[in-house]
Amino acid sequence: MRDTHKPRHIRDIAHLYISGSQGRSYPPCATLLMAGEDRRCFSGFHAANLAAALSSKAMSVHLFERSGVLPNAGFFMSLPPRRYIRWDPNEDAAVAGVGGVSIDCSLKGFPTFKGDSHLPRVELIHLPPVFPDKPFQESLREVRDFVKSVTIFLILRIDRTNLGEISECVEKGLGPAAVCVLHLDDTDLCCPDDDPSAFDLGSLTGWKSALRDRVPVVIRAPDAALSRAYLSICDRILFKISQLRRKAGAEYAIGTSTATRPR
Amino acid sequence: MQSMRLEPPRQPDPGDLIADRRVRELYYGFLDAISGIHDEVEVRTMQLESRVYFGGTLLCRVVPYQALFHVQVGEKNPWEIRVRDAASCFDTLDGVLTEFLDRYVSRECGHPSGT
Repeated sequence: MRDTHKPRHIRDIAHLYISGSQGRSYPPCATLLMAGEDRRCFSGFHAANLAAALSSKAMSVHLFERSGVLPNAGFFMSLPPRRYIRWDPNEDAAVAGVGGVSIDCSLKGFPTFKGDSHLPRVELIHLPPVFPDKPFQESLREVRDFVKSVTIFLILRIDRTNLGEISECVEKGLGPAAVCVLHLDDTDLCCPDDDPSAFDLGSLTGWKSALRDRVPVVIRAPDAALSRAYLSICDRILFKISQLRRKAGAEYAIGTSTATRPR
Repeated sequence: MQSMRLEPPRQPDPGDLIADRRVRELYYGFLDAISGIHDEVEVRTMQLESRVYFGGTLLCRVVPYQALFHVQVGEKNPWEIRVRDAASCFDTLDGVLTEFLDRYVSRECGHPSGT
């Protein structure tokens, strides 16, 4: 059996851990999970920018995205094709497992993949496709076990017809984990959603004109209006994380804690 | 009187021309990936090639041969690449994505292509 046929696990890919007694200090983590199906909103673009924005706020990010939808976050983070395309025609989706890359958004020469920096990093991890749902749900369970108490932020496209089906799939996989929905909306309407925890990216005026750039605008032009919009969404995400952690009785609070990496 | 309904003859798939199984899978995977990038991307299968359109304009042509397939990206000043393995397939996908986004931004934002 070739190596590529071996199921891979998140622990084989990701290098950031939120618990452990020894090792170097790491910044707190946020988790973004992309499971959207709609192809009009370029969710990979938003995910790359949000991950970079969170990273600029000293948060390390696990960005999980399902394989198959291009252009994905890796594309918009300047990764070479072999790093961002997780598709091997000779690999069965059911055993494909996960693959990923660790990106340092904070150093010059972005993106850098290696290094043992204590600076925040973005870990881009590919999950199997949403459908068929079994391998996807198994991966979600692995996500749940891996991130433990860290809040899961679920990024979903606003295609409401599909939302229920994917949500159900995610719920089955994640169980009662704290899930916050981040709606991507390509309209200019900032319509309030029934879900008070929902964010709306509809206010990101002009994001489409940035689609040609493969470096997140937050890194390329941190003072641009679009960057400020992403950073403002990140503030809301961080606030939400702190709320959920308080609610969950977590021992640490944003800004005062560090995650540690076991050696 | 019940009329007989004849099945239309099966359109020959140009992918069948590729003898190498790995290359053939790359070919189908490539077309799958391209057709999934946007709702307005459409793959039309011709007799000897597949054409990918975005918003009614030709994005790329994919021509299969026995041991490779040939991708021509763009319409006015096309560039071409031969795909024999996964690496060249990924590079080509990257190029098609770039071309697609260039056109998409030009159309949506009115910025001239290539700026």
